[in-house]
Amino acid sequence: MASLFSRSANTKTRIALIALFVIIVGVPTLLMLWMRTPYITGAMNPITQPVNFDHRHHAVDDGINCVYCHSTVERSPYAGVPATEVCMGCHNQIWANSPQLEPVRRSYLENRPIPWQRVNRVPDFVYFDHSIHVNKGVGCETCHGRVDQMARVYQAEPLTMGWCLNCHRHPEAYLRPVDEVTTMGWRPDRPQSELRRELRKLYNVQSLTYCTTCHR
Amino acid sequence: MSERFRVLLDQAGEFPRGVSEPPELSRREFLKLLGASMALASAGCIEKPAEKILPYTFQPPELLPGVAEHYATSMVINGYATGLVVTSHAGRPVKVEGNPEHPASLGAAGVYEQASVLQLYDPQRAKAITQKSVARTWADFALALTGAVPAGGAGLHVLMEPTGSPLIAAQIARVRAAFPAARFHFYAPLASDAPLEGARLIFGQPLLPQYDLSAADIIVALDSDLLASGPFQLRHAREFANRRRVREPGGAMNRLYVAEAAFTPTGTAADHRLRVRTREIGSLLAALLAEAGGPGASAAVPEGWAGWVRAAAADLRAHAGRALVVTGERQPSEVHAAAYLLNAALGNLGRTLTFTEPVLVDDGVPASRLAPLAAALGSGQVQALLVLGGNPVYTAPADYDLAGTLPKVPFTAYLGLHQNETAGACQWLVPQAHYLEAWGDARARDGTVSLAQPLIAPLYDGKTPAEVLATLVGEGNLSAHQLLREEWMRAHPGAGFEALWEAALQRGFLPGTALPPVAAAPNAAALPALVGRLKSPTDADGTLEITFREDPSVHDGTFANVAWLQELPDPLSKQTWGNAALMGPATARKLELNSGEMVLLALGRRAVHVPVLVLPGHAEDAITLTLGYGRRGGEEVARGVGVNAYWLRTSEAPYAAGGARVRRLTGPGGEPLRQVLAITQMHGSMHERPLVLTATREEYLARPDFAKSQQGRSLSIYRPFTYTGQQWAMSIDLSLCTGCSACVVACQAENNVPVVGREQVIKGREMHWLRIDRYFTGSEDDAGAVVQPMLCQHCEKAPCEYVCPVNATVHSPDGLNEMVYNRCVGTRFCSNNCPYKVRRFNWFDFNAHKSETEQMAMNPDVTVRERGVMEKCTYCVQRIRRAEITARKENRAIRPGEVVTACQQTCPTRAITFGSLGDADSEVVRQRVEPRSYSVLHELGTEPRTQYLARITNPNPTLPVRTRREVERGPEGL
Repeated sequence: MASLFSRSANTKTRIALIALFVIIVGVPTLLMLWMRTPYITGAMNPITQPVNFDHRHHAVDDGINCVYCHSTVERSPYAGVPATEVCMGCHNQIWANSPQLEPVRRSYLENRPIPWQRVNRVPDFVYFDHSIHVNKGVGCETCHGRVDQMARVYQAEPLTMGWCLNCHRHPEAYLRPVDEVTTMGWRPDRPQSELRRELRKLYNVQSLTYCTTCHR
Repeated sequence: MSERFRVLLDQAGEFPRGVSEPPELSRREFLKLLGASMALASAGCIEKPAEKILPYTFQPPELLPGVAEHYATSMVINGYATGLVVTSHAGRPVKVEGNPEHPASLGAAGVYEQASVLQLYDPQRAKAITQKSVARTWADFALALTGAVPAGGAGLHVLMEPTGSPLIAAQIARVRAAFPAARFHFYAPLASDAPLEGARLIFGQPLLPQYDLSAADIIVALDSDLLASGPFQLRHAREFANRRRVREPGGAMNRLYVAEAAFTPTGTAADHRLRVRTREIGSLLAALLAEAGGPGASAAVPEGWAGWVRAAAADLRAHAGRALVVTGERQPSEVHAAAYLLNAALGNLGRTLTFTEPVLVDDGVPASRLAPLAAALGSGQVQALLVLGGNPVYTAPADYDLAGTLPKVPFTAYLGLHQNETAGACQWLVPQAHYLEAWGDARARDGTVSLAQPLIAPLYDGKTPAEVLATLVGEGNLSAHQLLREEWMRAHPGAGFEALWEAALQRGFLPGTALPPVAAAPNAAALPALVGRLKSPTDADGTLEITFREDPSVHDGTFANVAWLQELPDPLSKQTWGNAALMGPATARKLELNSGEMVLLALGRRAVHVPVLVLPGHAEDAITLTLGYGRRGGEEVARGVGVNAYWLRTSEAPYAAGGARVRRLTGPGGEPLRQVLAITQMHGSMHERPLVLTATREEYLARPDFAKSQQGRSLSIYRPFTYTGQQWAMSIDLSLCTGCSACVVACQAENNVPVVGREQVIKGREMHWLRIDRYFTGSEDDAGAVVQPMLCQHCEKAPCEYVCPVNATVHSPDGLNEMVYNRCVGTRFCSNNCPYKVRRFNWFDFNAHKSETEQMAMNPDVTVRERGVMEKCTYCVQRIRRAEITARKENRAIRPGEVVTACQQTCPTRAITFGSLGDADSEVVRQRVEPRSYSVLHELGTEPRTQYLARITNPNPTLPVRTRREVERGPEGL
């Protein structure tokens, strides 16, 4: 009797089984990786704003502190985008006729808000609170990157839940003295591990990873 | 699939029509839609939805975006103000709470106050000034109004809701100065002048009774739901509860006797409740007078009442000066007068009962009487009619026929919230400003001048009654704010005005403006004549008494378009979305009627079709029908829900009438016609389970450990969980809970709990995170009731957590049973495994298609849930986390009492206590070590964090008491 299977049948079955395994494991893995790419998370994508505002100029050349404009960051869940009157506080004197600032002047005179494009966004079911983070020594730079080097602001970190938890599990790795929170490119003057353990104790920083910490 | 099932499926479908299948389509249309949706879907993949941030151009200095603001204001119902503190997020009022300093609130808020936020955002509110449905401007209206008013004001009539506002009183005086012949009328369907008229009978002048329950050891409430309805209910409930909080076995308690027809929350709280028909209260009072030794009274006590009357009378005598007899506003004036005399004879005057001058504005005609206006309308004397607020065409006594006479008046204008029945009968409609949009003032029941300030600019350019009255005297250009400030400046002249104004804005009222008690001696000689009038009516055989009552959900219809309230279960019948003819079990047996069967209910020449609802504990040979339903205006939520009881209500018998007849309605085959009632609790008894533990004061003293079987840790195969830090827990005192349901609405407002509608309630899919379970006790014909707020128990060994396949419900280290919406896949295993049945499933996307304004009512601190997600009480975790963040920013621990849940905050009796077990001196810890603290379904070993304090009653030892077994068994077959 002729054999029922050809000589190559075993090999083909092995290849098919391996391929099946690769697909079962690989496709979900690829999808999960795909969800974490900047393309999906929106990171690293400089966003065009209605006003050509340059953080490099204001934060570095003029030396304006972050909190001058984002003034509610220490007291409110929201860091706050400055009211037009804050812009005009300087710009009714400096560059008062610059065509670049036309949308700001129009907003001021017409009493209509400037429609800024949101850059950093977490989903609606995430209740992130800026004030507790900056009061416990998490720097602006830690989440928002070197805004002082951005011509147009982009989202510097993926803002995925895994990224949040990374810090919530080991907060001491990301702490700095509260008075250095707004410093860009801050470097500790002492061995980091020692300083950060000290800070965690000083600020009584907890590692909160249960669900209702952020989801309510 | 069996043939029968297939047929059923074809008929009913798994999902309601239009949900799971598209409308009937041809193949071509289907392909078109398919292509379009694919194109849209792929387009959605490419472009991320852009989100904009719109900062202020000029930021108000007091405002911190992301942090809620709180403002004091007042809400007026039936003319009396309740002080409130309203939470506002970014200029949107989202949550109403009581003002702790205001005498009418003491920090609590009732169901109407809680739900008024949704009324503000009602998308069906009147939006534009119209004249016969043509859009007009305010200037047009002012011109038309001033042109229509006759010289001297003859023929000018103004119909207002009862009000105590000093501003309105001053304006009325100004209008009368300009138009001496103008007439003012005040009407609200449930504002009775009988308490004032009763005082006139014995004091010679109308005086307003003021009750002080904090000084009363014995309270006898005759047809009075004083703990859960009427002005000052919140204060009464608190004073009552403060005298009833049992700290240890044998602690002092007050005693409450209630006689009433329909079951009310006050009746639930009673130690002794007597079922009496509404019109028999007079003779019951006469019997009580005779027994308690009222001057010159004597009456035979009917057999069924004897025990109750003798016990109450003996208690009243024994506690003379520390007792109180209260009669309901429904009762006629002679009943009130006789009750005042009984109180006077007992020496209660000046102690538990004082009298003040009336609070409400009165233009010669007592408030709440529509007769003079109806007569003027009937005789054609009215040249111009201004209706300021209310909905008189719907609520007026049926024999006045306002709908017929109003269109004959040359000029009619209506200032109202909705395009309702009255708007339909008037030429002009001016949108009214909601109280959360309006400047104004008012007086509380004790006379305290309260301020109403707006939380938001009028959404639809609404006007206040003050602005319309100002138009009459040529001040139509002044805003309500200007009018109010000018009037207050006149009332409080001098340099200190700005300070006084600022302080009033901050506190919401002017302290020290309560009216002083009037020292008046009652004319006791009037008693024999009065008692002669306290006769029980004799009704013809086969007829029933009918009582018209405020609806516990929609009031007099004012709140009929508020979906939260339509879906709020009645405290006793648990009916939502409609009313029914309530009757006692014996009456139903006699008439061979069952709940849900339709009857023709006739009174005189008028009749309505109404479903029957058999309510244990209801008086026999009597029917109760609540007002406020059967609406026909432009309010879509309210339209067509329930039966309009106003159709039967005439000016002669506005509250109770005899001679009602009931006839069963049958279909063509003689089968009874039925209506499915949307009732949230079908079972009526505890089925011999110790769910609500009860004991009398004596039993508690004799056996303090009576709750022992429901206490302590139990054996478990589950590993003990280690808890660290704050440990959140709740304690609910069942001695204090009246079942008023304010907590249910407060929870709904705080936690964005959706409304599901009548159909879904019938399917048992209501979404309330907090419900109030009601169990009847005793026998069907002599039923009492106990109530129990039921919410997520936050079990330490939570059955729901063990069965969730995706870890969507887990425990936090501080003892919360967390629900993670974005993990939930909707298996509903958790709900099936929850022994308390407190988990709610989103069968549909109940939050989709919300109007722009309704979205504004959402609490931004709480996630809005989607279809297919389980949800339940979180112990207001958003409030816990907010307090934690605040405390941690200040580097301190959370203070005891810093976290207050929404239900706890609004509870009028303070029956709910919340706090951390970590604070040894917190109130919740104190309550949990009381011997009467127990867990529901303790035998399951769930170790709930919510514990209950057993219900302790204080019955009179001479009267029979229901044993614990009778309480837990309840009526047969319920």
